[in-house]
Amino acid sequence: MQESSRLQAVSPIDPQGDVADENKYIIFSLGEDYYGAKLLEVREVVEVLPTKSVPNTVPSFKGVCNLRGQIIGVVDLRIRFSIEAPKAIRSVLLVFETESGAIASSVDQIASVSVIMPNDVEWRPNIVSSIPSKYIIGIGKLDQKMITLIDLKAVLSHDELTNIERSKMLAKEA
Amino acid sequence: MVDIDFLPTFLDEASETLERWESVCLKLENTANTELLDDLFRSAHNIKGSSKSVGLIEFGALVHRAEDVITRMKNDEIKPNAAVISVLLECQKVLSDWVEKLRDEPTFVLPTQQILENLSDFLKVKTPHKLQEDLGFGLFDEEPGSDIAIASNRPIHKDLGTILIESGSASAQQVEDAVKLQTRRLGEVLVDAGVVTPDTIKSALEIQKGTGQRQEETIRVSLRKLDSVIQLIGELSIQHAIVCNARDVGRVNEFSSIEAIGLAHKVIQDLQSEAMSLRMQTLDVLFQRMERVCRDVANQQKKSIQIVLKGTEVELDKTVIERMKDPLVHILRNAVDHGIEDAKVRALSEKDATAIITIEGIQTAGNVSIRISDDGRGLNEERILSKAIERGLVSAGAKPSKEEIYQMIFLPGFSTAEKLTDVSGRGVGLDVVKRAVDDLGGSIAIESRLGHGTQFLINLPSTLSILNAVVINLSDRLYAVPVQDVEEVVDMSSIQIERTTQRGRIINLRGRILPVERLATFLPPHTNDSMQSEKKSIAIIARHQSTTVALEVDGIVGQQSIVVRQLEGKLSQVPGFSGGTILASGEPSMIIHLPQIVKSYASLAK
Repeated sequence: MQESSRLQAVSPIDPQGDVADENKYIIFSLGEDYYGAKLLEVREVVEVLPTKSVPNTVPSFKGVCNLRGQIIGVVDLRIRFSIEAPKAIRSVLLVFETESGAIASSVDQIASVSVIMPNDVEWRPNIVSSIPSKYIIGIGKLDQKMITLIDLKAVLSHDELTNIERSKMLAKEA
Repeated sequence: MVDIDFLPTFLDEASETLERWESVCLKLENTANTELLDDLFRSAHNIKGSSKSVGLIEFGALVHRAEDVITRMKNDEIKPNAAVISVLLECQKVLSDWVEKLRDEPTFVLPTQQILENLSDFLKVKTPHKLQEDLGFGLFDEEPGSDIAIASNRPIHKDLGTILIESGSASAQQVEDAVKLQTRRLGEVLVDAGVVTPDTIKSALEIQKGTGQRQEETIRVSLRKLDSVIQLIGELSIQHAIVCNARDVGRVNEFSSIEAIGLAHKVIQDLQSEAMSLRMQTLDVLFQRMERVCRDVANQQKKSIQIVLKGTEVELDKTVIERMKDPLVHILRNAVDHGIEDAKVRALSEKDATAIITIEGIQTAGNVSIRISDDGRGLNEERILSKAIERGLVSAGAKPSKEEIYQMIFLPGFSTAEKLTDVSGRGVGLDVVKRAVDDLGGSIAIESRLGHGTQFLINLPSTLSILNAVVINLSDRLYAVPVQDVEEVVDMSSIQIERTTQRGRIINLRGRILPVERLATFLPPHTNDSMQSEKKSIAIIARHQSTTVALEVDGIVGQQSIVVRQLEGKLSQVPGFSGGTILASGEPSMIIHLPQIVKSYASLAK
């Protein structure tokens, strides 16, 4: 039954049809703003699953969920990027396959899959925002809107999840 | 140019063939016959051919030389005596090490001068003319593989030199000069010559890693097992089709579909155990390696030892086998080095000059035991105890039992050997063995009779994928705790809790004084959760090394067998957990690693 909860391909806004996949971004919202991540890096998009919190982890780590028998960690991007906004009515998980394994991030909503050509992107801009600039690929222009393009895969694979401040636990030997 | 696409396949094949090489050599030591020689020749010949085809020229050259020696044995030109076999075994060791190195560094070249000379010693006898032809390094005129790899646009592994030249860190001439001098790694030569800094080499090596492909582990599976899995999946899809059909026509509750669900349940169980068995391997390869270790140490110490292998057909999970390799080597080295007496001493105590070491695999329900026994001098209780007291590992007045004394040899910092030998005195004690077995959820028992021998019985879980677990409730979350880590579950409401100091609480459990701590101290609720229950009337008793502690939990839900899911990425580094699982309700749950919790408690107490 879980299979049906997977969102079917979000309608590709791709009039040319032959645009290189590298220029395709998945556009999602967090609070009032829109962000983009490279489509090719997303393994799948699933409706939000019940998560169970895990002790000794950082606040932005929402917990683990059961994705068709696989245990996957979920990072709450709102907390990760300190985005303050009224609680979203629903959210969606973007699942990424990193070198060390699968991990998901929760976002409010998927807006579209869109093509942003390299010419329409301001690469590696020097801006101050709640998102560390090393994770910002660029600012893309899409239909008069500015979209912050984030290297989500890097965020998810570099973030440390361990937080033992409140417990008496010894850190794990690497 | 090394063909990076085929290298992993070659390496897997080579490891297997080299194992065969080793076992044949060990047999040849006892009985020389043409069949064994043919077998050995085939092994060498196969590796030679395949190494050549992936472009490992130097590797092939060494195997070629060994093949020449074997050919001459086959032709009765030299006798397969102990000396030849030793060199061939040495050669096998060099090649095995080489194969392991190649897994990380596809362009690795081992200096082979010494072993080539040793092999050539046997070729020099009688026909010196033929030798001259074979000596040259131009054994293979063409470099097969290289052109193909370029032509087919596959990812090509660049060698270190190329990367350095391309990045402008070194000139082509400098690299070439260094290669000519190469008896060591290229990077080291270049650093010594002052051409590049160690950092440059480091980053170049990282680039090299990136261009290489991620190596995948492989396993050999018998066709019978695979067929049976496919057969079961076939049966499963039939039952699935029946249920689906029933659903489509709205008759799910009819007998036929209920029966199909029941059958599917049985098939799934079979499938699960069959799928698990795919990870299982027989113990013969592991034991063969142990035999080799004993033989090498015995030769080195001029001790005569007969090794008896039993139960080699017993199967064990591949991971367990991998992780038991080093600990077993350790035990056996100790047995040969310390356990077995010198010939003189053996003669005095009227023992056979040849000592016997038995390595045995025993299958019991759900577990596999490995028994290592020798007929050596046995463990000296008094000496162990006095040593342990001397090292401050035990208090002087203690009156431990025999079994407790034996277990002391596993304490960190314990070593009874009066002088360190090259064989087993390398600063690592048997505590390494104990730790490895503990980590796997196993146990070690020792039996010994002074003057008659020692026996180690290592109990191991046959698989790591399915665990029997206690499901506990903590701060409104469910967690699984492996049953093997739980000594006992205690109802705290019936036990008087004594207060020692401000914080310390202790209980008297049937005469044992145990400290009490809340498990939530180590696994506090997540910052985003506010739930915290105060009802703590149940504790689990857990032990790690010398520390035993009663850990309070909020409740025990029950016992169930769980399928262990490895945690991925950074999640696997979160302390306190060894894995995850999906509980019967479908909710994800973490598996608590109790030994680590107890270890943290012990460090807290210090």
